[in-house]
Amino acid sequence: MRYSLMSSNKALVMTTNIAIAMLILIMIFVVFYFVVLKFIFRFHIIPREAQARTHGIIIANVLLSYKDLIYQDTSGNFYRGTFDSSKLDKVSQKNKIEDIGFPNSYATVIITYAESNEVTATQLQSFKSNADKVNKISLSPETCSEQCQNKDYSSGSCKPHCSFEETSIGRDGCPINEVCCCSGGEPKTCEAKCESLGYSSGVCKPVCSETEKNIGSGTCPPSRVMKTCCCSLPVWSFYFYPRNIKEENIEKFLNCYNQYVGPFYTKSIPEFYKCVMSFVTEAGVYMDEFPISIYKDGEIYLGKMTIIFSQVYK
Amino acid sequence: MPVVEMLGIVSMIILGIILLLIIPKLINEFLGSFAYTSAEIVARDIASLVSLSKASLHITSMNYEIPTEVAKFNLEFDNRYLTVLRIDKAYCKNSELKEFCKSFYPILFDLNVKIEGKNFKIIKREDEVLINVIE
Repeated sequence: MRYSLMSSNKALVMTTNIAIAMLILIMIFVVFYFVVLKFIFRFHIIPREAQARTHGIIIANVLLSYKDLIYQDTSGNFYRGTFDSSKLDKVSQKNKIEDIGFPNSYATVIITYAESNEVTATQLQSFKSNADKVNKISLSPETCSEQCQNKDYSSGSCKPHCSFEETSIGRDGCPINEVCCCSGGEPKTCEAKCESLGYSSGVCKPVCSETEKNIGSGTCPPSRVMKTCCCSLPVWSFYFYPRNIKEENIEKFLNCYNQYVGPFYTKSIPEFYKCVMSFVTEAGVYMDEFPISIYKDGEIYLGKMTIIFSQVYK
Repeated sequence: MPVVEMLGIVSMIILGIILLLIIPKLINEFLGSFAYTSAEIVARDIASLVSLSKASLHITSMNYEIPTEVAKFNLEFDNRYLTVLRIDKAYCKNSELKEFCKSFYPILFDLNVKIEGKNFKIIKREDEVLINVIE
């Protein structure tokens, strides 16, 4: 009987000890839980880095339906995801969009045809008046004939439509509803040859990049290193004017833009990305490509839209 | 080992396992309730919807219901920012709970609207976007 009572007391002590241990364990859980909550309160429920990605995607979606950029048919219907090249020319010449854009952010948009190996020169035959030419000619007005001679053609004249043998180089220097038609001669320089094929520009280089089309070395001057003519596809670019940003940072951004992107050419998107990253360090820069189509002279071409976005915080 | 002692230990072990199973669920629910009633979440949801409304060519309205019945917020759109302020809790005057009680989020275009309520309808007329309270 005595042994049984002692054993019962021992069991009670042991059970109490286990209960106390369990209570301590639960208290540790609760304390840990509130510490975690405190950190959540302090460091935001949503990671701020996610904002840049979300906003980049929102900008892409809005641009795909932006009436100042997308194609509208004669019945007034808008076509989501199909950019009108004439509207792109206008926005690209202005360089920027101001009526929309996230505050405290830098956003740059680059629109171009798909890679050169996806769009053939034949497809681009209709694309003779590219934005680069419009830009150059608008800065230094020349007559149609002068423009043609500068491009190694023998003559040029303004007509409502160019014939099959002639090459259209755009509307500049001509009355409204007429285009400048060049004829005779064969382009002798790499740039003129590329432009006659519908590309925006051409440069002789040892090796063409992925976004350029190699059309051979025939128009390149002889040199010690073998060079080939590389034609570039037309590019449109613009940015959303940064709001609520310090003037000095706007200047840095515009320097990067003018140095690496520019209105009608893109020297290097990775370099532009690095340049923006050099002064935007808070949450990084989001960059992505979106498939689009481009309407030009009744034809639809495959294209791509690159968005480089960074959100800074006030 | 006596039966009482055995029963005590076994019951403690069972209770411990049950607690360990319940605690994560409770934590999850607790965190979820914080997220749903957070001004930061509401600001992000509404600002993203309003910004995205510009992308619609054919959709004319979107309804937004705050994912909780317990919280009440004031909304103010100004200078391309949406500011959300929780108004049903006195402790929200405490500045330490900044993101939970008061939050702001950028929007894509200019919209100057002030709203007090819970559920909203975003209406798009041509290029103009309006926000109306449903209830």
